[in-house]
Amino acid sequence: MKLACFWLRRELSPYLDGEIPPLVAEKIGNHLERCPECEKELEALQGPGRLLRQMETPPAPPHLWETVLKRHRGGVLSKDREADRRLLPRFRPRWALTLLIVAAFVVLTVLLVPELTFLRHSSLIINQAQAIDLGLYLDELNKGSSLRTFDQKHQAARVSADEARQQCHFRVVIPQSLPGGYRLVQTKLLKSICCFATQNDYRANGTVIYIFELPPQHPIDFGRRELIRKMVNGLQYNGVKAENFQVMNWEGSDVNLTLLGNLPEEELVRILKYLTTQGEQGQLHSYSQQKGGA
Amino acid sequence: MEGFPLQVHPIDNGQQSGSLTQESKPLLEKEIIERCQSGDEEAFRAIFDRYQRKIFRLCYHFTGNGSDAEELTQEIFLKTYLSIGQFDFRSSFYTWLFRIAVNEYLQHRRKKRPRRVPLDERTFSLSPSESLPLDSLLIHEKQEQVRQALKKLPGRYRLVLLFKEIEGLSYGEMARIFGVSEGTIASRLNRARERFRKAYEKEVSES
Repeated sequence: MKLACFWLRRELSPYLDGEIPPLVAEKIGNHLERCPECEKELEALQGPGRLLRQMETPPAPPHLWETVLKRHRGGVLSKDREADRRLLPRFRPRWALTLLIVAAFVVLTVLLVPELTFLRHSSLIINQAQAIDLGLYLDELNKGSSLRTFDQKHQAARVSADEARQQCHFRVVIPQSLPGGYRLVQTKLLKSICCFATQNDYRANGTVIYIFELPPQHPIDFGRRELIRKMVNGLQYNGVKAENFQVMNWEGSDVNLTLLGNLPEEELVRILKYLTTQGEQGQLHSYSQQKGGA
Repeated sequence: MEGFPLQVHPIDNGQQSGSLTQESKPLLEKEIIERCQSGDEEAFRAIFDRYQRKIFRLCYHFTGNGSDAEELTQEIFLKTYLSIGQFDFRSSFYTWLFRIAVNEYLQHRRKKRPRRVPLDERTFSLSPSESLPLDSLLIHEKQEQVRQALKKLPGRYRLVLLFKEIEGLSYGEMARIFGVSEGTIASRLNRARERFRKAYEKEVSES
């Protein structure tokens, strides 16, 4: 089969149903005139419709209306549903109380247990493994691959959870006003940067710091970061103007640290210094606490 | 049904004008629906008359037999009767009705247990001794093959195929009924045709 035929056959069904633009339909028509194989394929596609339309159906039973009316007046929706209704447990206050206690427990757990803070959108600790995952995802987005392909491809490249735990943890500060979950917001932001899709709904209305520590084998290609910065700054995200948006790379001896944020450049540099010159884990954590982000 | 005063002109969303009348006044489907919504039983009868053939035919193709089709048709109209108050004229009425039909069919299929097919519905109910001409027997056999092939399709494929080939709905209308994109409908329909063709060829070769 020729490549043209292969692509065209995928469009034959909508062509048959008149669901494609006239220009495309004309092209397909021209192709069909000189391609007997595709013509045959079109014939075959018409078969089911022809057969189904020839099918005879018995007339609707004459007493149908009376039955419907009778059942409606009698309040009988369905025999099955009536049976279902009988099977349903009756509402009991004790159940409601149990449900209330469980709901209260869940809410309290989310509010009090630090590990579940990601549910509150206010702040989040990501470990290196997660950062690498996100970085790799970012990398893949640049190439236009799907997340699934990314998962399969980079499974081996990830550090283990234990390895990651031994590394430092970074505090990522997200203002309360940001809508949605952390992952959603971040993914959208990254996507918009990488794909230059500036119309995404990231609301850059507060202090945001995004940090990814990447292994040297997987540097993010920010070769065009100047261009990105210029494109992103000054643009509107859901009515909020992005300013001082920075994309920076710092290439150390063994890590490639990337910071993204809606911060003045000197702030980012200060954070970099905390992380790199003092060499103590958790510096950024304390930094963000000083800034009141945690 | 004879002598029933209301007749509904088949319009879409009440935007076209009706020509059939009640006491010489044009009567739009929109008006009829509004009367249904205020509890007018006669108005619902008019709706029922308008759509019962269509719905029964669909149900017959959905289920493959008359008694299930009858039961399903009843359910669909009952559901329609009960929820017509929620119809807000944002879509066309028949799209809304078909959506109810699909939901009821899926519910019906979930609950359906293996049933004994009444004798009069079985393929072999027509014995050679009966005085049917050979042509009719062949047609009957062919229809049975089509029915069997249709039965072998998964529900979602069967539905789009029937909506397209029997009811002639557009991709957009089907997309609204199933709550999916038009692209999904296109690929589903393509696969449905392909699968149906294979199933039918298999039926023919086996018989």
